[in-house]
Amino acid sequence: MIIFRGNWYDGASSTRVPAVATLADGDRLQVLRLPDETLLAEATMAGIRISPRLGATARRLTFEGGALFETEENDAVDKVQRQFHGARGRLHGLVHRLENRLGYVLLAFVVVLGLSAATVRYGVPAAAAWAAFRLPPAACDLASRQTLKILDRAVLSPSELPEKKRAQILSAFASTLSAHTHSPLSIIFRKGGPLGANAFALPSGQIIFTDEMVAAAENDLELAAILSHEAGHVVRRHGLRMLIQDSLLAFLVMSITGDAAGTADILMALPVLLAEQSYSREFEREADRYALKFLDRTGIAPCHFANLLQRIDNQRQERDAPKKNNETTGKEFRWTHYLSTHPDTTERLRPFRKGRCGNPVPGSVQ
Amino acid sequence: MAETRYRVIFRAEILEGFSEGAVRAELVRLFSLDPKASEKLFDSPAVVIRSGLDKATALIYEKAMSQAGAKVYLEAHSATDAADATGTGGRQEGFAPAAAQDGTPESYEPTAPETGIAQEVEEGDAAEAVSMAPSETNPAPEMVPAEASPLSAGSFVKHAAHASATDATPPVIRPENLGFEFRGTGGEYFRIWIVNFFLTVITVGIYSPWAKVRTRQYFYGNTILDGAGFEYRANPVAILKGRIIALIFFTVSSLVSNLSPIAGLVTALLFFFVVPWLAVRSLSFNATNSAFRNVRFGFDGTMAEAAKAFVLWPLLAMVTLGALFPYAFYRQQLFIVGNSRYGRSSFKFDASPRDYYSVFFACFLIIAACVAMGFGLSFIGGMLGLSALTGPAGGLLGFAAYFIVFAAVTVRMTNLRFNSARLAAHGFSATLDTASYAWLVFTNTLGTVLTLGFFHPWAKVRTARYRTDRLALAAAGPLGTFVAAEERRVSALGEEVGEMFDFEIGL
Repeated sequence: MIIFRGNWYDGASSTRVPAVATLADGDRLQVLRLPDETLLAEATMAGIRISPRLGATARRLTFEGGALFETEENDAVDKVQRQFHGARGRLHGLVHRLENRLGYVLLAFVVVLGLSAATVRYGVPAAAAWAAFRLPPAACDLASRQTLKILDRAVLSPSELPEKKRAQILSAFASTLSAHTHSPLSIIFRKGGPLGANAFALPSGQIIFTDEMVAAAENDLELAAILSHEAGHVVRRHGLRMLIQDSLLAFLVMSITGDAAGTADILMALPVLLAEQSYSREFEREADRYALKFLDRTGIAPCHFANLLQRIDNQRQERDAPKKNNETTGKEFRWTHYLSTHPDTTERLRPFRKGRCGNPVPGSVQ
Repeated sequence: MAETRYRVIFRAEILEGFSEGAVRAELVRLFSLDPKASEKLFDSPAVVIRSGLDKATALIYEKAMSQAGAKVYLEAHSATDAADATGTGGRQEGFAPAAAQDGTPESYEPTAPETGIAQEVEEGDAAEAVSMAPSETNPAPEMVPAEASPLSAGSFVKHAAHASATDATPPVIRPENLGFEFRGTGGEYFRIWIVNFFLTVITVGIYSPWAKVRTRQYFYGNTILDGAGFEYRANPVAILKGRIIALIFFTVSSLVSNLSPIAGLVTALLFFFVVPWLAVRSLSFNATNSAFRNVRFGFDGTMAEAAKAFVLWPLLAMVTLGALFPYAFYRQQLFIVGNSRYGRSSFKFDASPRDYYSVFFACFLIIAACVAMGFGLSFIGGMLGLSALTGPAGGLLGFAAYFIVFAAVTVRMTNLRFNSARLAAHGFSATLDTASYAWLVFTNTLGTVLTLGFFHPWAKVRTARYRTDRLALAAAGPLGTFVAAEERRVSALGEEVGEMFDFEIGL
């Protein structure tokens, strides 16, 4: 005989009736009003729905017709459930048992932690890559056109390179361009302005070279080496993958912490930002690997790549160096490196320092 | 004309079958008495619980108290009698004060404005006069014995000698605020949260609706009012269907807006028009699937009203460069609260647009103060040659300002929303405070970011506890008198699409 105390709510009004539920032999559950023990309801266990156990919250036994018996005596209800609801009852109790055994909780914690890390590190990039390579190339064209328009309006200005110089560069690029017919590339020249010596690849295959980059190069082979790196971005669809990864990551973070009231969820973006930076660095590394392989294959010495980038990096540091004496400390300098999208220059260029390229450009002292 | 009004009198008589201890406890619970007042109840020969009631309301009181085991008498008196009796001119709201014996009649403040139960009185001539002045002496009234309750026959455990005359001033009962209580803990919720996460992950998301229902039910079930918790009854399968559709919408719109900014803009505009539908569906779904004491809540807002509240007024606010924004916000809150109901009783919302303007004005002042401080700091820093520090200091100040403004807005809005809401005779009171809430948000955010999100369960519980601790129901009577309504089934689609787009509606 199982007896447990609770409250009876008939569902027609919010009146509370203190009551007691008893389960004698057989499967009939009776609800009796206290203290006079008037019968309020009676039903077979099959007709009663029992809510799953949840922490220490009250348990609800719902009768057909909607009346409700609410009790805090969870253990008694568990006994009833085990006895009468058999497999269904055990399943319902399963989740609560998982939550209550410390071992399971630790297991869940470790699995979740590991899976989250793995997802961010590998899962999201893999999913994005899978999707990016299956989207039609035309998917990228519109985005690229818009991006170029925005860049032109915001930072870039028309190139001031003479036509002859451009033709010269293009002919130096000819072999690289013809090697990429499956992902057609086209070259665009712009004045970099605030962006300085730089090159960008847009997903559509358009590659922008700034006048400043051309000026920094000592010969056209150096520019061709940079081209192979940018071609890597295009061939590996980095632009599109970046797009998808960002969306996926933001979505994941939001779905986990999205219901956070009492937390400033705008600051949840911080981890996402950091993750994005690391994704960018990974893309740069991939483009570098592509460039190295391509240069080796076509017989252009990789050291040309190293020389040009090192020279540009040295120039940048010289420009920034005078500021050091005033306010900015060394620490600030290092922070920007950590947050940058390009891997550290010395480390990055090491694989490229081979081949014969005239005078190699040394790294500057930090 | 003198309508017949009734007063409810308790003479320390218990019905057969009840024990005095149980009845006393039940009455304490029913009227939220403190122990001293409950002693007065049983020690006095007669206590007037309430007077000036119409018959129906008096019967409600009688029924409630009989169920608790107390025998009550209903005595008729005419409305004009009550008028004569007033020496205080106080308006009776809720129950009258317990301190009446001091002879200081004005020792109470109303806990809630017009009580539903007293409304009939307000409308009558006796509106101003229904009070429990201590000087009231009862003329010999006609005794109206308590109506047919099956338990009233039989002997009494305690028999009062005095019949109708009340000699000393009858003490009356005053209910206190019924506070909400949150019983969950961070540790307990963490276990639920992590297992939810785990199961969701290994089922590739299919388990997520069950996880959501479990989470909601945990928070609802641990929010206690008057000894009973709330209930969330949504069917996970309905939520799953809604989620799948919402996911499709979200993916498509994300990709579209990323690939073509113009198409993205068009999608955003389209979304604008879907908002009224989303609002109504989401609010209906949540309301219908929430219950208290086995009576469901409900939401009856129409699409047209939603369009006005969520499209028209915000548009106008944009057009007027934000001047109408507080008003638009007011209209949204009015829409949400005013169309909600518990059982058949509607919520009422009596804030005014001015209240919202003062909230926004207060926040402007805070922002202005922070900006001014920022300028002042950089100026002083420049003068002292500490310009290296002004950058980080300014950043810190900006952060602090963000938290403070965020907290100030949330606190004021929440307080305003609850304090302006009424349900039948009852009111609500919310007493959140900006400083402590700002600290709560700051520590929650810090914890969550530092632990890469794993502090989230504790953050959520802390917030829930903070809010419920400062929320109370100004009860004007027993809570057992609400009647349930017929309910329609509502699909989960609106709620899920809204959630997917981080579109938060509701309380």
